[in-house]
Amino acid sequence: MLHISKHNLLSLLTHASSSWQVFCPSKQGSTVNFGWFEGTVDTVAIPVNSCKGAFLPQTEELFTYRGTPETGLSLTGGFDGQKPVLIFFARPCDARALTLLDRVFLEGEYADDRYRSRRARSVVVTVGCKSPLDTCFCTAFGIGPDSKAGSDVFVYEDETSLYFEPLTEGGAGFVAAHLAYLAEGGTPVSVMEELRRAELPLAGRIWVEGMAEMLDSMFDHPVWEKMSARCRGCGACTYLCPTCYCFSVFDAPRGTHGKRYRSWDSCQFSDFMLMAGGHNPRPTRKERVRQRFMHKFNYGVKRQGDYLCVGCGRCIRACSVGLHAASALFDLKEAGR
Amino acid sequence: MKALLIPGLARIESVRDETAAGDVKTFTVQFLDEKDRFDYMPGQCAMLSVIGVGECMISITSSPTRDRMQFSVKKSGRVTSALHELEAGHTVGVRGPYGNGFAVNEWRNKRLLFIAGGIGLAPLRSAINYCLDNREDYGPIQIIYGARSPGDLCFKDEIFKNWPGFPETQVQVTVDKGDESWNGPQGFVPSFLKEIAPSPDNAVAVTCGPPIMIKFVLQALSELGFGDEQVVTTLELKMQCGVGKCGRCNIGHKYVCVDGPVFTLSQLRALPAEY
Repeated sequence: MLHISKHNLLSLLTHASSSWQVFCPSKQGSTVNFGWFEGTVDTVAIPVNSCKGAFLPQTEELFTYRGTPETGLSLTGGFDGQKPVLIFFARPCDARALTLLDRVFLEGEYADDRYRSRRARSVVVTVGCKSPLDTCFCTAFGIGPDSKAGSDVFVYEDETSLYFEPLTEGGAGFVAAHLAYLAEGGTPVSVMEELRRAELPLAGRIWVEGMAEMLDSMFDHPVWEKMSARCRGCGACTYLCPTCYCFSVFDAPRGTHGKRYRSWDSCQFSDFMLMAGGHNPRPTRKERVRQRFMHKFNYGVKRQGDYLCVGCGRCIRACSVGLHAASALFDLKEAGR
Repeated sequence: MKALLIPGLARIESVRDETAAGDVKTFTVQFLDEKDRFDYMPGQCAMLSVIGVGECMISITSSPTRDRMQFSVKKSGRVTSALHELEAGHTVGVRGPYGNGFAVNEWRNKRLLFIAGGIGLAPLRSAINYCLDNREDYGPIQIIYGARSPGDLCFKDEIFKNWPGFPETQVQVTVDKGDESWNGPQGFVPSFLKEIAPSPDNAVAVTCGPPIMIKFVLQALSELGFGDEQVVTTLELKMQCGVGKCGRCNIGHKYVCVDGPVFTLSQLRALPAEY
């Protein structure tokens, strides 16, 4: 298997960044976040955020306009091809989550041109999760520290080296373009074995089998009141979630020109569904918390064919009041049985 | 590949006041660039932009059988208020068509009952004119329409002059409260409907209006013997994309923008009552 000494990783990424937009974890202050490569990379910590922002940016310009409705208008800013995206060191949960976002943005009558353009030429390099956190529960969703769904290259990490296993044509192309940095030989058998045997204690306590069907009859269950009572409505869970994708569209005028943007939004915000005239179909936290978990565990199954959760545990680590996918799955199971 | 969220620019050709209070206007628009023009079916919608202010989903009130695209808009929020400031010759953004539209092909040879309140006639008007322009394909057409006052009635030329002139076409209009000029029926649409008591036999009932009106019209139709499959309504929720992606307008697992806005009563009964 082709491998690289960890000491040389930065030079590989620096080289890669000449032909790729590299999205990787790096240390920012006291935390590690995914972001565009700026000369540093952190391959140890699981980032606070997910890598969805590489394909669905937190804020992006849709167009620039000049003029006014009264005097006439022109729109510019068609989306042109930039360098392809390289995700360097997704985790198996992140890679799998991208395949779920793909179902929303690539399938059906209305494929999203921007998402598709970024995603089409992208390469996802995923590292096997040797040190899952106690908040990780991906195995509850059929994922695991060595899962390869959604990845183009899988990387095994031992004490000194990173071993590259190309999984797709795109992944092979990426590896071929960086042969100068890679040495031939060796198979990290013990790492592979370690990943296969890894256990996630939290996943053992989580039950998802039949959850979607059970929720069919729980829309009016009192459990939503109880669950939402402690929610602060901050929306951190939705921003960090690798499968949350809700967005809003808004104009930012500057006199006789301006821009229209698309930006992440959250179903946990009170004005998310507020209509002109004041009607709000989800007026309290109860309806908004219910929407989030029904979307993850029921609506998503009906629309996208799978739970819209990958057990990454980011909502567990972010929530200040302990209301997250795992607690919801506990509470809902308890309430529904 | 066509850009998903970018509107085409269109020129407002004319603006018509529908109501005495000036809170409903009908905009006739023409795309500046032919490549942005799109075909549509009755009941479908489009995202209408006042560039620099924002976008909102509006039903297309014109019939595809007529050559100009029209939107009738009630002034109710930020974007619709800005739209009401615009005049003929000004520019708006339009993208679409979105939504399922009415099942006008399944309505062939049936008796059609349209029940609307206020601006709720706007989406039905598209279907009514479509059916009237294909008059021989449909059975008798009965239109029951109401508004708060005579001044709040929309499309007056059509409800009083044009539509009643078609064969086997009846238009019955009520107002909640009349004035000195009004010598027609008074009362709310649901009770007016119960008085008229149309037969459910081989009929489709299509209703749109304020939520409270829809609620009682649905009850009245059930009392009159209409089955849930025979009753059709349109829904409206906040939308930002129109293409089932922004995650806003869902009722259960259905999105109003792509799975609606038209639903049969039996489809609605299968969804959670969160709208």
